[in-house]
Amino acid sequence: MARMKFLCDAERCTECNSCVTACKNENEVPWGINRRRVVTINDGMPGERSISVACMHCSDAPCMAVCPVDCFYQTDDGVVLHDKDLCIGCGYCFYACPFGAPQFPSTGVFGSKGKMDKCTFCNGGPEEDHSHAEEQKYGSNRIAEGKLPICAEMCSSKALLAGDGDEVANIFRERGTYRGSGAGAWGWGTAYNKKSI
Amino acid sequence: MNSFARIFILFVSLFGYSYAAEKTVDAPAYTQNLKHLYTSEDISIKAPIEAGYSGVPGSKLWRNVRSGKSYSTQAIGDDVGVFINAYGEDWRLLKNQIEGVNLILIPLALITVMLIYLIFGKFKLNKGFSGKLVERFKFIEMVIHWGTAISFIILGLTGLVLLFGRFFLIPLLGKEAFATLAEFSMDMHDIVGPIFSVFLIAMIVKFIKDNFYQKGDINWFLSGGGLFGKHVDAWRFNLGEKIWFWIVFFVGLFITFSGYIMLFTGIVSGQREVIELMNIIHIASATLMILGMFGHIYMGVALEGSMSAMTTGKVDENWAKDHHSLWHKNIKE
Ligand code: SF4
Ligand code: SF4
Repeated sequence: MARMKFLCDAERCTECNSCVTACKNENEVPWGINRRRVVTINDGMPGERSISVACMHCSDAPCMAVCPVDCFYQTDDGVVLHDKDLCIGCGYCFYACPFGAPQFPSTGVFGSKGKMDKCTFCNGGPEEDHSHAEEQKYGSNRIAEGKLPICAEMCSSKALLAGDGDEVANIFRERGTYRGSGAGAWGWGTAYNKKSI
Repeated sequence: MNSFARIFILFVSLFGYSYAAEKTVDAPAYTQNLKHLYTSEDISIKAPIEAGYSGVPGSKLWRNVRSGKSYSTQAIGDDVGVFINAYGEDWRLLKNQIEGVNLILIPLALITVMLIYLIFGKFKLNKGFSGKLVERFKFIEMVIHWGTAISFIILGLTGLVLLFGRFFLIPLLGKEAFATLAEFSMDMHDIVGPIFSVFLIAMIVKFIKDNFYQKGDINWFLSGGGLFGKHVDAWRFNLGEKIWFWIVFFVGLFITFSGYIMLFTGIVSGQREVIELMNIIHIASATLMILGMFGHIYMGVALEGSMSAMTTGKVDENWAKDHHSLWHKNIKE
């Protein structure tokens, strides 16, 4: 059985925000909700690195553990999904989540936050696959079509990988090995006009 | 990097790769490159240092990712620039611990109080009812008391539903029905909370002047507050009641303060950690208040003649003489 994972290669991500745009479009995500976001460290300085962040579909997920109405479930593929009909918008999942993945549509009076929304690994929700209700509440269900999440597919530099954990790890490992690292990386000498390998 | 570390890294990678090469019969082509890369010369470590610039942020990058600081991003929203929610797991574990303690303390206190009541029953007045009544609380004081009491009980029940409903009520009601109840509880909690705070402030203002230390209170304490049969002189409120007042004062303000912060900040950027902390304070102080409330209710029920003080505002003269002799003497004059 596959174990779905995301991986963002910090050495490749160029902060083009394709993943963010693709996700918004595919899932018709409303204003103010970022199922995926790109964060940049040392923006505009040497050592700048960007990483695309979304729900990482944790094993033993903190959001699942903390939800007072127990509305989360994990699919056989390891994707963490939730039931918006049960969610009361308490925000606990947001406080517990390591990645700030859960999002809330409106911050109304009295802290009412609306139903939580987060990355579904393009795997919809508890409703029937491809039903209108599922699309309305959770967006697309590409996994049911045998496809992988749109963000990774649209990544311009193939920094963002999504899929079975073993596959993703293999691709990343192979890549890292070919690329080398630091001054050992291919093309480093040309780029910095210094003696390399 | 000192030479010892370099030799060590070289040695480990040599050992690792020769081991891997032995184990993996059909090693993929890229491991061949790898061998060449690492065994010929330890370039990846030496070159950046010679160049004066480390091309790979490496551990520094990941330390920053873990730091919980906010970095630049195009996204707009709550704490979007933060990679890792640094205190989320601490909050969850602490909350679990407090909940665990609550699960023991609250039922234990309830059972203890009920057992004491069952065993000792009501504490009778020394000389029975005299039939003569004295006023103990004004109407406004009773309104404030019951306003605080009823709103607190609603808050306590709805709070407990949200804290423990998942474990006790979902098996009974099912998820759908419980979600409805939980949503109702959350909304009630949010609406009744501010009402409680108004009553709480009113109560503090109204009762504070009789709750400072007065001469003789310590005697009440030293002789066990009349626990051992003999009544002790006391003013309008005895030291036990005064302590309860100050618990309500401090704990109540903690609850109200943390509650308001959670209510009105929602999840504002950078507030996530604040709210995690407030949540802990809120749960812990609410527990103290619930425990105190059990004791308070017990006193009202178990001491014969007490309840009428808060239902009609009047008490029997003999009750006043027994329990609050100094106050009784005072109002007689
Ligand atoms: S929402 Fe957060 S805690 Fe839950 S699975 Fe996703 S990353 Fe993990
Ligand atoms: S916001 Fe919804 S999903 Fe998140 S913990 Fe609360 S009820 Fe559960």
